[in-house]
Amino acid sequence: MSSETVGDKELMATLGVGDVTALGELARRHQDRILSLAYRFLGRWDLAEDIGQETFLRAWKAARHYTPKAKFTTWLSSIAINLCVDEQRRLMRSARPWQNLEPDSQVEWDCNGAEKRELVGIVQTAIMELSERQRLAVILHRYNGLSHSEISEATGWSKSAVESLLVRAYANLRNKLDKIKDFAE
Amino acid sequence: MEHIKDIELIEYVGGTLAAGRHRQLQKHITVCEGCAERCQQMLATWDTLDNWDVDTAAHSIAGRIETLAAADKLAKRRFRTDYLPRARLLILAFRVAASIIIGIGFGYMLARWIVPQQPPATAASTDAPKYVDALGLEWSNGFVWSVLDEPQPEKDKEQAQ
Ligand SMILES: [Zn+2]
Repeated sequence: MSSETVGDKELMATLGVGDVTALGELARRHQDRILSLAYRFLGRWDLAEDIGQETFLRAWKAARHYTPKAKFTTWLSSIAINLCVDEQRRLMRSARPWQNLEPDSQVEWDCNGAEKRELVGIVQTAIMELSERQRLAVILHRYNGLSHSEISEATGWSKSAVESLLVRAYANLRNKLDKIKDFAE
Repeated sequence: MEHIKDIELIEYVGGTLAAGRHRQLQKHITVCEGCAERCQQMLATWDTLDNWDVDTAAHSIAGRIETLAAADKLAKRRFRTDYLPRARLLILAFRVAASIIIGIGFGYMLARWIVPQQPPATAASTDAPKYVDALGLEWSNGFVWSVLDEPQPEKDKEQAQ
């Protein structure tokens, strides 16, 4: 069962008939993708772990009725995205948006030196300052490797909306990051 | 070829374009100075964003998920063996009770429909007959004079004539 030769869709079918070991295998395969997505979107590891756990448990609950239409990773990402957006709104309602929280990133990252840490901080801030939708589109495109069509599938937004979000998001980032060109070069 | 659209340039740099289209754009960039410059800018942004690397190694959740799933499955199995027979018995008892109630109700409705409502066999008189006075008895409204009707004097007279 733990063999990499078994596809994700086969693992979902196995999970659908009650073999929970398939869930562990799916989690091991895809936790990086889901954890990093949630962390980049919310800026906190505790929340990212909760979102990650809930994503796989929901995939398990849906396994019996799972019919592969999109790529498995796109479908899984769509669960995580919904949870992330809900969590973000919950934080906003409780007047604790991420901006007011101390992101736990900078102390935990394996960065080489102060210059690198500063660079990472600038990039993180530039992304976090984007609107919620632009931020999500950029994270899915830049870090999770989804094409704009896949982002459309995962978020439920139209392709033209995703196109416009990505174009504006990268333009905003270019403006914000221009000031750190010296670091990059 | 027209200049490269912004979204295609983004997909080109991100490597998410179909192979054929990727080659077309690559060719265009080699001959179009404007698109080549835009591509360089996009690449610079792309590379800068690469600095935000995230290490998830210390945050593995796979083990936790496996434990949760196994515990949930065990709890469900325990529910099936411990409570399900009792729950089934309870459901059966409810079904029997419901059948009896429905049967009685239906029988009652059917009986009402088959046997028509009939008027009382005798009409009750509420007036006191005259002989009550003659006998010095007391008239009670609570008594129904269904049998001892006063003979009708008008009819008697006619018969005499
Ligand atoms: Zn051009």
